[in-house]
Amino acid sequence: MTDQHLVHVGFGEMRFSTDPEDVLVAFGLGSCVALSLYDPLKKLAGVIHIVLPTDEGRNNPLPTKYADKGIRLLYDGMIEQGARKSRLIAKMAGGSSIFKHNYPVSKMEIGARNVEAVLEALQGLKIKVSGQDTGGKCGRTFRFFVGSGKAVVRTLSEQKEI
Amino acid sequence: MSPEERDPFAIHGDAINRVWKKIVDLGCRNASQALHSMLSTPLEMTGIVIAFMPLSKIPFLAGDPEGQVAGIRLLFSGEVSGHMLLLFPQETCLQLVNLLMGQPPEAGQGSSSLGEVEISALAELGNITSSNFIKELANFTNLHISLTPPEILLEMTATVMQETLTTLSATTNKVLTIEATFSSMGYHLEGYFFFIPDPPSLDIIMEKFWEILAR
Repeated sequence: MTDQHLVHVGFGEMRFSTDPEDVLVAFGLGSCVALSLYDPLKKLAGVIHIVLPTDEGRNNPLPTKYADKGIRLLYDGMIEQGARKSRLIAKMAGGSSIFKHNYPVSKMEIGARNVEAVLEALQGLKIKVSGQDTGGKCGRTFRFFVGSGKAVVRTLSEQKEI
Repeated sequence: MSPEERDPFAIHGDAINRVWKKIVDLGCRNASQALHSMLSTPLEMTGIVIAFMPLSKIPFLAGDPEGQVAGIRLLFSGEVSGHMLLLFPQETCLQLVNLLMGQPPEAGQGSSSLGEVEISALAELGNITSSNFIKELANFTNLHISLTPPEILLEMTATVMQETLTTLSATTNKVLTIEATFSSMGYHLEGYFFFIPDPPSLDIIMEKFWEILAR
């Protein structure tokens, strides 16, 4: 793990890698959702850090922040770089509910709405989810190991492969 | 006026920074007095204004993005709105609660988690700190501002900061970052205090500063 290179996938960002040493990482996901697409033959991985379910057709500057626009960009990026749709493996984590109070109603279920929007976008692309750790009340770090195609989710209390 | 001329950061940057510093200093002084009247041992709060920085930089400010912190968050609303957040590493929290209870920071080591009493002590600390800062800001700007009760979150640094960002639904937010030190009985404990106005609110506050400085 020490020789591997951490590639930080920040808030609303998207990263691709074919370097088997790379680990694509989204730190401390709360209501945000990290989604990875992987072509095991090409050893090509893409990870996106989704913040909100939709940009509501506003053409906001950072489309990768939104499930409805961002997942299409992730998919297109994978295909452009030589991935085959039939080989794509999807894994996702996040979408929890962190803060309890003080939210306007529309913000309350943002985590659940993000998960729903990601699943919907994948269904639209006819890609199945093979690993998922979503919901609940805790923050998660999502690590994707490009060489092995493994996805590991870590919370403050545990770590597991999905 | 061109947009550059209207940008209160571009002109009178130092004067604006001095205003923030004054508000922070007065807020800390009043918070210390309030703490003193409440506690058996004086607990003094001092704040150093670091900068206005983009919120996205902050998960890395406190070191390890996966490190456990306690975030004490309050919302403010009225003529201006936004969030305030006090952030302490987990170990500091336990030590801070000891100071609040009038004990040395290392007392009762071994218990590594925060119970109900500790959490409510931290919430009160968040209340006192934030309300004194807001009071000074309101006094200076003549704006009406009210606060919600604090909410405590024990999570990874990155989670606390990203959740705050998500509620604001904007990545361009500028955050007033203050290094806060709590001192008692010769001990000094450090955390961060963030003032995160919604973008239109920051403009309103700056406009007020600008008006006052131009007088």
